Amino acid sequence: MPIEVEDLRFSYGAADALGGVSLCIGDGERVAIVGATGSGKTTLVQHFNALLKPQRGRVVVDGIDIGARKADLREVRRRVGLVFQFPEYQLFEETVEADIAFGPKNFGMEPRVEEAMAMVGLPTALASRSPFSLSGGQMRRVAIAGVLATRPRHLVLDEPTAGLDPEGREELLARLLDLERTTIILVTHRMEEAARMDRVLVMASGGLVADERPRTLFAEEGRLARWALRAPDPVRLMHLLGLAGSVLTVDEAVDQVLARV
Amino acid sequence: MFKAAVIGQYIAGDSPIHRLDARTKILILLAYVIALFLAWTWAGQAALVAFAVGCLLCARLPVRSVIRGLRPILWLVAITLVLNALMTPGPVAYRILGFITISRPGIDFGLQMAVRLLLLFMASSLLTLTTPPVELTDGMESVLNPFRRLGVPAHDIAMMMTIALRFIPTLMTETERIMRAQAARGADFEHGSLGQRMRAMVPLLVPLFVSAFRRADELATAMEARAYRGGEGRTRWRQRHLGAADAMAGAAMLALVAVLVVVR
Repeated sequence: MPIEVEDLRFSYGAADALGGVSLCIGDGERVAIVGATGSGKTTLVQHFNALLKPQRGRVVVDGIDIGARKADLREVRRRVGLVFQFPEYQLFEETVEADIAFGPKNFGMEPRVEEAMAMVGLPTALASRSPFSLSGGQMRRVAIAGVLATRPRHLVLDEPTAGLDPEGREELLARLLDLERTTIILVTHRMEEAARMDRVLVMASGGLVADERPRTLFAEEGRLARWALRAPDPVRLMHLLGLAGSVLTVDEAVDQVLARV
Repeated sequence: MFKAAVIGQYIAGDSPIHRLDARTKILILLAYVIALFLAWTWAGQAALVAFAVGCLLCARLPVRSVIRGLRPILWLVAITLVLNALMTPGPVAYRILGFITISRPGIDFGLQMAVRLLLLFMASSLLTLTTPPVELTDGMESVLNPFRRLGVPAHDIAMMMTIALRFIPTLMTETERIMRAQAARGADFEHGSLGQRMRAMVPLLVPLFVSAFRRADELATAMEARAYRGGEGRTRWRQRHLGAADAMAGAAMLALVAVLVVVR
């Protein structure tokens, strides 16, 4: 079932963080949320698993209205996994295994630690190590595995690849996109990552200003600049070469250029 | 949940008390507290109350927030009052249920201690309410400076206080962040027995300590990178000078002491 948002408004004291956002994200969709810093992306996604409750408007997750008085927020949190920015800072257990099992135990589920570790590409040999003895990239994977272990139907990731090396970034994203039967909502500043999703939501000053397929969105450079965004490098290169076509990736750009030679 | 927790946090203003030099305020507070514990007569206490109320009015603080700030110690005051009334031996004034006795001197002593505690708390929060933290620690450093020869690390104490104050809001934001992250993993901080709730704090406290140490480490590196090596030979950007107002404040304090000596 989908995540539905209707005219959602939220403000921190005087400042409006969200001013009337409506959208619907279907089961299994791959959605990117992009936008300048402070545009309301993080505030929006925190509503998806009821960490914030709508001050106005409605958020309905799999049929559960999170604003309702008796809403089962625990069930919402089990269904929607939320990976925060720099999630490695939330590790606390003595072993990797125990940390990953924390979420499933809270939700009364059987912790399938090895499965979760495999999903993020962590060798099972690390299970008995202390999470604090790992490298930054490995800690990030442990934290993400801790959320995946609760087997969420919808997975929200707030800049999961920030601060990782290029190779690690690529590999982690590929693994996340490999997850089947899971909705992926990716908050990101990297347009190359957004380009790999089915749909891109653009946030600007607390409002949803665009909701399109990446190909359509990145085709028009003028609009992107207004929202302080830039198309992915291959797209910009093709624009510069005057080969305006619908390219998204480096491979597509290469094909287009070769076709012209 | 953390918004109300900071007691005596600076409230910006432009009252005579706000404008006083931090050193003056610290020394007056010190003298006041000593006076508080040496004055044993009701007349003396009345003078001390009058002085505190006078300062409070001069500071033109929002009354409601000052009263709200007093709330946390009301329990302490009440317990002091009750314990003193019950425990002090002397001629019995009241008898409850036949075996609980309250003595006349007990009531007197209890009331005096209660007033004293309230004043102590009010006077010290008046200092922090009207003095920006940086000025406060600078003032602390100057006041402690003469004791350096006795081995008191005045500069280091002041620097530690500045840093601690600076990091209170940071750590609060961090706490909220980690709470949210653990709540997303199904942690429950609000329900369950006391024991369960205490255990629920572990996933919060461990990451908080880890990040506090990390921040401390980063700060130390940043300070070293800018060649910080303690207070030796360090000059000040903000130079402070005592003025007429400070002299008047000092005179007021001396007047209070004089009154206390007379009514003794």
